[in-house]
Amino acid sequence: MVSLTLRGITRKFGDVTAVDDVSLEIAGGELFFLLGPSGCGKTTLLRLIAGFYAPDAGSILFDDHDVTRTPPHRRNTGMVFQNYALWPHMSVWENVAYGLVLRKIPSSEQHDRVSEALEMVRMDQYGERSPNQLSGGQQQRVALARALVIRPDVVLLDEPLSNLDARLRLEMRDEIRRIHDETGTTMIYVTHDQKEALSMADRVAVMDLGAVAQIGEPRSIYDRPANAFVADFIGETNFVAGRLTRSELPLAVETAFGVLHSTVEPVEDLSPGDEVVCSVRPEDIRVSDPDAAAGEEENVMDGVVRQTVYLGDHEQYTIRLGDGTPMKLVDHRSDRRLAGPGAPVRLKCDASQVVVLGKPV
Amino acid sequence: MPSARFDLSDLTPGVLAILGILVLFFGLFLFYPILHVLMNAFYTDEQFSIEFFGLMLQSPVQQRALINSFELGIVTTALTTIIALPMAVAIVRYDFIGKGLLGGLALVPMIMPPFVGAIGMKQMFARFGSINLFLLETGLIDAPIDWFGGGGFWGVVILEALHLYPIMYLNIAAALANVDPSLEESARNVGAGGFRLFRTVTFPLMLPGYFAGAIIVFIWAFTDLGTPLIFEFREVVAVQIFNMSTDVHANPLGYALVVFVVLVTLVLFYLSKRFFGGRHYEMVARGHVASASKRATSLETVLIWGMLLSITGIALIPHLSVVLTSVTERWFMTVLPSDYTAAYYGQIFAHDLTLLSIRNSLWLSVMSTLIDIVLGVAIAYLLTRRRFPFRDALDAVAMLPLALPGLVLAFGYISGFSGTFLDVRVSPVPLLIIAYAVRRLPYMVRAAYAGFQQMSVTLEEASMNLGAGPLRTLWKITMPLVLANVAAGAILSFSFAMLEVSDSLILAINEQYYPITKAIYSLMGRITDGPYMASAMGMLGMILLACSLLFTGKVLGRRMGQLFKV
Repeated sequence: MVSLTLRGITRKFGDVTAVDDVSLEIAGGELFFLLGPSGCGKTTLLRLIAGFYAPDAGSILFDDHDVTRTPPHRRNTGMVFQNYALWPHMSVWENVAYGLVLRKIPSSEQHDRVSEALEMVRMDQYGERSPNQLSGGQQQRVALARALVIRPDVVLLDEPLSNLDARLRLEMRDEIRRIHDETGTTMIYVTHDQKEALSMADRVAVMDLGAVAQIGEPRSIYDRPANAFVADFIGETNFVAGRLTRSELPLAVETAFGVLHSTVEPVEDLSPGDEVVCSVRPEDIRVSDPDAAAGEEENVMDGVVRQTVYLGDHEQYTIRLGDGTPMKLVDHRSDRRLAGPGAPVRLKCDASQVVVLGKPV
Repeated sequence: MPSARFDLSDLTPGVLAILGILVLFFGLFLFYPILHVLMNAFYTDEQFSIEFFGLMLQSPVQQRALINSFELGIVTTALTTIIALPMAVAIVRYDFIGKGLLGGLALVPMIMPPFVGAIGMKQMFARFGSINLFLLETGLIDAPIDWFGGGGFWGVVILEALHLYPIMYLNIAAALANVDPSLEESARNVGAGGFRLFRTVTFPLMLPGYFAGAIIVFIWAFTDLGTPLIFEFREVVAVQIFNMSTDVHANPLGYALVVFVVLVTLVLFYLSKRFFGGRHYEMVARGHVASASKRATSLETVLIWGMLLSITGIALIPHLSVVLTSVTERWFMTVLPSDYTAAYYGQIFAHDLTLLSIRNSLWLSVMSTLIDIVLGVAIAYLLTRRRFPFRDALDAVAMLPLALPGLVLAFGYISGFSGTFLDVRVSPVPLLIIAYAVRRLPYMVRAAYAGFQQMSVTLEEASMNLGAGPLRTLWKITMPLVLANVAAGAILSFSFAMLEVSDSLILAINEQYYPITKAIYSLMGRITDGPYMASAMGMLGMILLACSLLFTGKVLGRRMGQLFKV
């Protein structure tokens, strides 16, 4: 199990800085995700680790070996490409065996390892097939086997599931997680799909504009986003703008609808008087009748229901606050509707669910 | 994603070395000869002057030649358009039984340089040739018709049109196929249909592709040397230049004429680039023919078959006449030969001149094809896989020979390398090989380029990722996957080199170095058995080309058609 260290990696293409001073520590055996919108530099970072690009600045270490200037074919990484990149002129078996032939593995051992790898991805029946006789999901599995069979120091997955349909994607998530746990190999997985990252990752690095916005376990990234970009990109959230009036716990933010309190320690450095936004997840907002809840004044906002969308297992409400700010909320008890369009409502949220973030520029 | 125009880390020593070799090659064998001609045309006695151009324009012979050449070019282009446009519409827009077969047959006339066909055509359409005799015998006419009227002008036009319409057809078909069907559908949706649709939407959209083909056809006809020579239609620019190439030192008018041809070519390409955004260098292999076609009704099928078969039939008359001439023992004042013989085929292999010329051509073409493979694959690789400064310039230079008449290059070689160790009077072999290689390089580059482009870079990256170095990746992954394209390009380059006319006629001065085409030309000068032996040689060339095309077809399968898209 090989650990990875990236130190101050920067890579420019012309005037565009694709990766901007990124430093990461990835532990041996970790399933590590690079998550971000398209163009955030995550694929470039993966290709820098694979060696297809050289960084303009910074260094890359596999354990203690500096591989920054090592060409891709001497890095012993196993990459799974977005389009699978199976060689059409070779059979499935030959595709998988290629890396072993290059490593001059004796042919009997080659045979065992290819069988083992194909078995692991449940493609042992398909060795003689040509790649273009396989479905997308099957090609995906072969690509994975081809990367794993060489027992790479680190497996690199570049949006491996983006070309599959929704059902297959869910199935392959479990498969990859299972294979990771069975082999214990360090894996770096690039995706723009937050659900993929949240459901599979040991840790996630959220990237924005070439830089790392936040690193952490899925739960902490979702519950305690480090800034407004992360809060917005991961899951859905509501932003209420205001001014910070108290920077010690519980924080107090003065908004157009009264004061919102938060008991979540901010990651950013904020001081009283700063323009901030309060992020509240739709599922953390409760609704009550304004008259029935007349006495409560803590963390409440008044508004009018604009729209409700019934989605079977849950119902989505869009509520307009006094100044027009839209708020989304989700109710998972679909056996009843909280309020119909036009009804005045009072929204309420716990101080432990309000995250105060610096106002995005 | 990486969008920068170039990346310094791509400039490895290997890439730099290849670029260096390419710069040297093109500099020495493409730019230097042309510059040499330019210098000689404009500098007399160390002084800039346009005196020669004045002389050129004043001479009645040259005037006549210029006018004739322009007429040849324009009429041939118009004729090929008339033939090719309905063909292309039928094949691209309709599905019918035998579409593949007819589409392939339509390309067959390309397999023979028009001047070989001219030999047979002379026999058939001469004053007392087969056609006139047949018409006289059946009583349809009273006096023989002068088919080639105007001193051979129409003979030349017809042969060139019959030879060149496949090029026009391929370009128009590609342009048509590239017209997004949804654009036509939306026009139909707002109420345009039939001819109006074609005139207002389809035609304007395919115009750039059409002009790309038209320019190639025009330049070809404008500068073709072989056909006018055979028809003894000597007052054209190409023949004038050919005559002057033998005494480049004594007569500077040749330089002026060559410069004039270069100017015409440049102006045409400039205009098309100016007005159509230079789309003629675009790869056409991506067209989706199937998406826009509809099933033909049985009446339409019959009409289409009739049209395509008659075009192909007429286009094959020269070939047929060459076949007949080659097996003629006696053919005088009769519709068909009165006696047949296979003797000339035997004589080809007994006769010194012919045997030697076959050997020469094989050797020259193999060598030039090898050069094309190396350079073409290297250029295509650089263009598709590396980012480096002046990429577009390399692309343009590699494609330049497509637009550059062979005549210009050959004349430049003769004058530019005279007195050096490459002087054609010492041995034309090196320059012939290089001329063939330069002229056919664009086909090779395009074929390989298409191969590299169709192949995802990740296939190579996957190989490197698994531990294969760049060379091994090239060998194990890249080459096998582009092999078909490289083979197609190589065979095309080889075949066209075997039947290259203008370079061969101008550069090969001594009989011992004659390639096939020059041998055929010199055989025509012999009164007795000349035309028969020449036809037999022409047949041999056709058979060779047909075989190599069949072989390519086997290798490439359905992708065969892409090979000919100019």
